[in-house]
Amino acid sequence: MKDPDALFGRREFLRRGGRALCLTAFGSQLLESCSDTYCQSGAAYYVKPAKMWKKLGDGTVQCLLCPNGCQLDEGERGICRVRKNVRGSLFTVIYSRISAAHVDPIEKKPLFHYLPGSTAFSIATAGCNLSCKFCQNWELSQSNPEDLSAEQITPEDLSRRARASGSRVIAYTYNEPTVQFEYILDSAAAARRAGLRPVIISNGYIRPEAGKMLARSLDAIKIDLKAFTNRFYTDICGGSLRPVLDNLVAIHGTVKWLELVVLVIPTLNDSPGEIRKMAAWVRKNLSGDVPMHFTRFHAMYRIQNLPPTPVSTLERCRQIARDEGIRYSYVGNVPGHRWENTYCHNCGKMIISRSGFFHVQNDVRNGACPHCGAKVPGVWT
Amino acid sequence: MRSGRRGLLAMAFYMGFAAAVIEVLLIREILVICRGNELIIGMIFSSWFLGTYLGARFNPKRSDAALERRVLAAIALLPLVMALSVYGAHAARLVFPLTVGTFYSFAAEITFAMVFTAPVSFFVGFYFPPLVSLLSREMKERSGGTVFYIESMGSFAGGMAFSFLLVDRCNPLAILSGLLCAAVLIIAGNTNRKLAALAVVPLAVVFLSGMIETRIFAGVWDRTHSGKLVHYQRTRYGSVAVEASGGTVSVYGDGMLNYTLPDRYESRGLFHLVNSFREERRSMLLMGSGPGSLLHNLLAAGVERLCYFESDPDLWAATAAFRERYYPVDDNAALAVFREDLRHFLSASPERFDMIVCLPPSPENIMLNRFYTREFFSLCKKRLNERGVFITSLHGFSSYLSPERRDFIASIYRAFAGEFPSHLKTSGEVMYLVGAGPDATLPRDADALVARYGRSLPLRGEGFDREVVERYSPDELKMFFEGSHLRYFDSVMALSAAEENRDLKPGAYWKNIVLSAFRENSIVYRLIRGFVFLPAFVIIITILALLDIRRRHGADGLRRGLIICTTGFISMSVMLVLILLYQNAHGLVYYRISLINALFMMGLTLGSMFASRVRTARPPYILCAIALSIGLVAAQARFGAGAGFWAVLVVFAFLCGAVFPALFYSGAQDDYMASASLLDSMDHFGAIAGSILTVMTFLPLLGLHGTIAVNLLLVLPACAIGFVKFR
Ligand code: SF4
Repeated sequence: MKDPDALFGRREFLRRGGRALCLTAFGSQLLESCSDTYCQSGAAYYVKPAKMWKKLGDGTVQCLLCPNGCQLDEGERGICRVRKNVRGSLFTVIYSRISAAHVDPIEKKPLFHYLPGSTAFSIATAGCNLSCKFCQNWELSQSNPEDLSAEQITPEDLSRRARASGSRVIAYTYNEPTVQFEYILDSAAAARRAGLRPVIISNGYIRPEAGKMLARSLDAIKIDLKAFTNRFYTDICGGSLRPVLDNLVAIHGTVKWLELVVLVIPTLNDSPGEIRKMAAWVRKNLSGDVPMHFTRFHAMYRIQNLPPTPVSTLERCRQIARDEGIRYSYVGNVPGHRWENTYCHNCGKMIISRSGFFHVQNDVRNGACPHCGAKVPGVWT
Repeated sequence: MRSGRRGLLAMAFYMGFAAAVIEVLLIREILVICRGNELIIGMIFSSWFLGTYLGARFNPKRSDAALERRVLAAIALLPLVMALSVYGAHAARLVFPLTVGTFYSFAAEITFAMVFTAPVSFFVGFYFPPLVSLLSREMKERSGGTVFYIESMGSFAGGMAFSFLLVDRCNPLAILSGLLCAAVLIIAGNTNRKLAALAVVPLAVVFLSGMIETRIFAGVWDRTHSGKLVHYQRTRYGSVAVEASGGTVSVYGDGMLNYTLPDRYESRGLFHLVNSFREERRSMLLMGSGPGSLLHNLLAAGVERLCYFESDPDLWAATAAFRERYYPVDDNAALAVFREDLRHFLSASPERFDMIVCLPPSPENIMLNRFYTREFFSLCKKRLNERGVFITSLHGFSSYLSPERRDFIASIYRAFAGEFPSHLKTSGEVMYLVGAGPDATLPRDADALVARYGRSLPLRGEGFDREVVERYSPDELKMFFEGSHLRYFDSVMALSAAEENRDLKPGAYWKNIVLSAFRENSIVYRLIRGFVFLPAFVIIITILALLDIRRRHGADGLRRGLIICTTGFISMSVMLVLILLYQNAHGLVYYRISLINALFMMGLTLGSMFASRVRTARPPYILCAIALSIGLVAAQARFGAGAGFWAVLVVFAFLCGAVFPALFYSGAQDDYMASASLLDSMDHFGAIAGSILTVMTFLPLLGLHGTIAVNLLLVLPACAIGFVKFR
């Protein structure tokens, strides 16, 4: 029975209350989202026609740059957040939109057989085509470009800035560089004209055709081979393994130099069987001369509550790779560890000594071991 | 089965006792699956009060027999549902598996907090109105106040028993079984004495609880973590777990990774960084590094007195066997291990040091925030010798600083730089800040440091870890001083408007929580940034609750609801302020914080007892006195929780406790149950709002003084209503 003193009934009360709550929750969100930069359109000079795509009809396009193969309706962006369908054509919205620029030792990438002791002018934009839970640069890779502060660095400016920093190398790194495909092609060509060496540090999640195009324009590529199970790629990274392997086969032999990094994460990708299969695959499909780095995991991004990889696990991974015929396998992120040094595959003597990124003593002479004269694979001058 | 007055009061006492014990226990246990930051703890608290509110609110009037059954059901179900919640929380990780090393999203954690808390506390509210109704047969308008103070007395006893007795001796299962045993006896005493025999069952569980607990804990742990559980122990501060994997052991406190041993390679860089600033400095205070390689190698390097601080006092003993396997340093004469709060030590001890190295965990909560404030840095500076050096650590960055991270870092960096204008900072994902004492000079830059340190190398002597000193080049120090990263840092810091992190305006912990929410890109991030949503949400919910009262209890009920809601709000908010004030001034001392809680409950008991006996205690006068006592709290904030702190605490609690009986007495007339339902539910409703807004809005946004001012502003309208309507 209705209470005669009540201002309104129970139902009306619940209805009004519910409405007020919804308004608060979504109203505040609306306010927030309209005030943030996401709603603002990017500056025009960052937006350039993209390569590697096709029309599907009805204004829909499909991006063919990476295995995600995003099909985008008018106004939509790809998974990487940086390629957009504008009126039926695909555009990149991060051309020359640089959010991070630092000077790093090349060992930090890590590239160990590529101009040891040199520095790399390292740049990044927003976006990534994967979403790894252990990403070190998640603020870049998992953001929309409009949400990041950025400056315009044209391809020519990039070479000038790199030179001014004293670097011989330009590294496209931190976020996934292949999503800035068009910018890399242009700026790498400009860099080469200026006598600089362009390299990328990539997840390798790109279609072979595009991978080959990039490989031809670059001097070195470092690929993160994140694991050797598809399950890891799907569960932890939001991708799949096969395309990375296909791309590796495609670019090996095209690019001058290739190194692989495996971030070994306890329980997720550290089983001896998996590492053995991976190393055997590299030996068979690429080469035993491709260096493999087994690097140590530290708490990062979403994986915040996991101990660092035991050094014994990394040592085991390195040994497995050696056993499988990888001639240069390293332990990484363990400053001072002996397996961060390079030992000649032929005589076993130390030829490059490293402790941390900043102390590198390179004894390689004319690309050969100073002790036995064996040719050491890599780019040394 | 009509219970007499004594039986009914025994029930109220039991419920107060059980609620106090269960509330603390629940918070500790839910931290098995949730992060222990203020957002989650605030949500657990709020869920607790929400459950109580709902229990008291949705409590229709029935016959006395039905009401008595309701009370007895609440008594029996409280520990049972609690057991389901505790072990449900443990099982959650099996039912909703996660990638190893990750946390649930904030949204999921908040959901868990509600799901595991509110059903338990529902019974704490559910028993109250029926019990008042039953007691009102004899005590009339004194019934509400009496139940309130007996329940408070039970809470006081429960708080004391848990903090000073149970926490060290009993696991949760034993405690819950003990409570169930008591519940069975109470029910038997009031219904059928033969039922008392059933108490044997929970009693048996008490004796088996250790084994059951360990099995459950170990079983869940091994399925959800990367290593195998090798040790597990509950301490006063939470739980300590040690897991083994690949020749290492990792130590977790409350489920959060504290450190891994051995950590020789990890500490190589840090050891040399610290040692490069050490020069001839002989005495050192070290906190937060873990008892591993840094400590071990500093002793090997010749530190003559090294005072090592362990955050959880029980951690040192709990991990002794594992620690000694890698670093047998306990018998080193140069080492003094302090198992106490560093701030407490620094404020109490006159000892000065040549170096203080303080590497606390990230400031996820107010407790940890104390190690990142200007006042803490000032305290450290005071404890440095003239040529002393202070080193602390800070969340750094890899390549880019988002505004969220920038503001978080800036609030701490500014506090540090304000106290140590002459300082060096490092780059990297963990940044180290090095501050100089009054007469100390730091190297000009990294090159000068490298050159200076190079002259003291190689390190000679026994006891160094090979991994730390072998082939060490001073060039390795350069990885801490990457020029382009440091220049970028300075340019980005200049853009931040963040205020420095202070004791009286602690902002870093909240910025850290916002950063965590940003990292997971959750809806919670969009809701909590900007301090808009939560206050708006609380205001709307409060208006709805008050409209609900107006609908059910009329204008008079609305006024009484408003006053008790304000009291609940203020009591929670000011209590948090008092705890914070005490922690800031004296450090976190377990027994004293427990004492604060206990004295608060005692004050509440005395106040409610007084007001239910002295009928001239009218609400407006009590509210005015509360306003005055908030003024005393403000004075404590001004002068740093000094003399009179305990008196202010008890007086404030006394006055808060007096409001309920006074309001009950002035408005109950003949519907005692409805009145009890109204007052109990709105008291807890106010507490929800107080706990949410104080920690998540007022403290980070307005600081302590601002929070006190808000409380004062809130109590004044309540006073006005009181004078107009209840004089
Ligand atoms: S590059 Fe981006 S838009 Fe293109 S397919 Fe990959 S994720 Fe989609």
